[in-house]
Amino acid sequence: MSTPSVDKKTMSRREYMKTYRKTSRLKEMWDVFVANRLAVLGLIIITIFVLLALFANVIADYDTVAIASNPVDRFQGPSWKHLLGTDEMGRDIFARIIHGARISLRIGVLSVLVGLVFSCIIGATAGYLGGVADDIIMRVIDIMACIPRIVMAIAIVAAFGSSEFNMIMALGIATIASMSRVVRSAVLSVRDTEYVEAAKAVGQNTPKIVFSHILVNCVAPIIVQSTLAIATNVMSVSSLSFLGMGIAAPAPEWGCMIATARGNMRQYPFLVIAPGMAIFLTSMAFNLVGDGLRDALDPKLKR
Amino acid sequence: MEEITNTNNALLEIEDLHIHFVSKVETVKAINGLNLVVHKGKTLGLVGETGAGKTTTALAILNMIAKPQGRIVAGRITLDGEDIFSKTEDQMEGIRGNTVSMIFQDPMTSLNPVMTVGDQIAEVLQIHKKLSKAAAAKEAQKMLETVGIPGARSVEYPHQFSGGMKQRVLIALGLACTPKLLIADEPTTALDVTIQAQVLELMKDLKDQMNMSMLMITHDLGIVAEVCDEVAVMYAGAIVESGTLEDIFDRKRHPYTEGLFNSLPDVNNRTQSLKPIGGQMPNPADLPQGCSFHPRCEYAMPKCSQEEPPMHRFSETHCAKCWLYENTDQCMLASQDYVPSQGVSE
Repeated sequence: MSTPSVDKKTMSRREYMKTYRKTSRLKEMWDVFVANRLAVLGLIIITIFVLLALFANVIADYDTVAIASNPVDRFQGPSWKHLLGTDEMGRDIFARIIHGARISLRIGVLSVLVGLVFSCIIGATAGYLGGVADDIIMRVIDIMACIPRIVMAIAIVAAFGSSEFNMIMALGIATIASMSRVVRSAVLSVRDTEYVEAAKAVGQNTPKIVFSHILVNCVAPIIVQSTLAIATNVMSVSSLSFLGMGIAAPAPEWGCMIATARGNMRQYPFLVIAPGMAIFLTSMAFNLVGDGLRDALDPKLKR
Repeated sequence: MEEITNTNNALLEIEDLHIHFVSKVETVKAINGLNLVVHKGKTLGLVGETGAGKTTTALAILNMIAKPQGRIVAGRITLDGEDIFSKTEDQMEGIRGNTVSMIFQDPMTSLNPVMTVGDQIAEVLQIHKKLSKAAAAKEAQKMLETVGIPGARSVEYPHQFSGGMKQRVLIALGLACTPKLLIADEPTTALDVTIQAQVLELMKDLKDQMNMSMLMITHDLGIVAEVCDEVAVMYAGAIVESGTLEDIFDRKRHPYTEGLFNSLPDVNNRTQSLKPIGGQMPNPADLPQGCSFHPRCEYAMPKCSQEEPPMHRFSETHCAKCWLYENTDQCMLASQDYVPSQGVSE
């Protein structure tokens, strides 16, 4: 190490960072993340899907290519013209997949965000207050957890109608049970640490302690659980649509595509393989990224 | 209960404090009739074994006893003229960190691992001094420099500091709002000896600079001799002897205090073997009758197991709670008073 010429006390933050720190915290996290090959693979897959979803309209027009039927081109195998072939209405499957990615990712991510907001409030309240409040809240959550999440989602969608907003809310609520338990247990493990006691001893108020000291230290398990939940919810969107409770038929939803292709899947397997792979790849990618993030976000983990 | 000293210049006064922790199975009597006074600008050393209730006392001063298990059964704490237990939680938040702040025992776990140290210090300043974010950050850097850490390192996270530096960060955190009383809960237990001296020296200097009082909680008599003006010896949730540093070190009266000193090596008499206090601290859920120290006391008399001894006053500053002094002021212990004229170096 070369001796820096500047006096430590007079130098600015920026100079200091340059002189003494080879890497910033973000760079450090990124390095840990990149070291995990599978996580990078997951990130690449997610990036591809997100880009395809963002530029779906540029790649293939929604109304003319993904929706309009073209009976002449029915059941064509994969070719350069139709990368993944065409379906029973002669629509390009690749175009439908990328438009389907929009629906799946949007609902998957938004529903988890909805669930996350509720879970953080519920889990943090239960974990921080403890005692009777904890007992009451967690028993209600236990009751929610008894109902399988897909059944819960079906019930909500059946009651309120199958719009995209209702699906987001339904899947979000179905996420609360498992997510708030994770939040609660993380909060419990952080609540009694000395730095929380110290924060209290310097006069910090309770909401601030919960949000800026406790929840921030719970991000690792929450992020892992969230990415897992995105994966599950992406599958749930497809499951609901497959059952006819979600996004309705002409829309290029992956589960919906599998449902309509079921009749012809023996002769034309590519009809179900493509959307099936899309579902599989997205949920796997989110799981891998979640794992990588967990390692990278741990502040105690030093290279 | 008798007043310990005159209250004119007292910053902190604890009167007849009783704290119990109640569970379904048992009631743990952590603090039993504790009396304590910290004077303005002075350092009081609170000495005692593990489990004597030192930390509970500290938390009580901050009104941070864990409820609902922890119950303040009786007593009063007056800090800077205000009754702590009559305060609401909101009012307490204004007092904690501002009038009184605490340095915790373990520097390794007392800092939030996902916040930069600068932000953690700035947080206190934002709460109490209502500084803007930028001003607080600047002030935080200054605080770090006061404790001997380059201000530019305020952007770093706790794991990038060594143990001694973390303890200094905690000191900076505790002193950020120049409190009137600083409670230091065994601030050097987690540090190695070389750093201990540095940290103690620093605390002493800053205490003098800021003209505050300090409550030094420790089980290390060496630290007491180093930094304290007054000493209170605590056993099973009550003060058994209190006085000035000289009172306790040179004219100790209580058998427990004698026991504490006997379990330290004597530099002048290296052949003497250590004489630890036999037995264990009594179970606070099942305290013995009478004097709580009598089962371990060499001087125990029949009376000790029946009645609790009163506080006996030897001088303006010095008092001890023991039946040995029922009728006399003379020292009744085997160890004799230290007489300075014999010229033994300290």
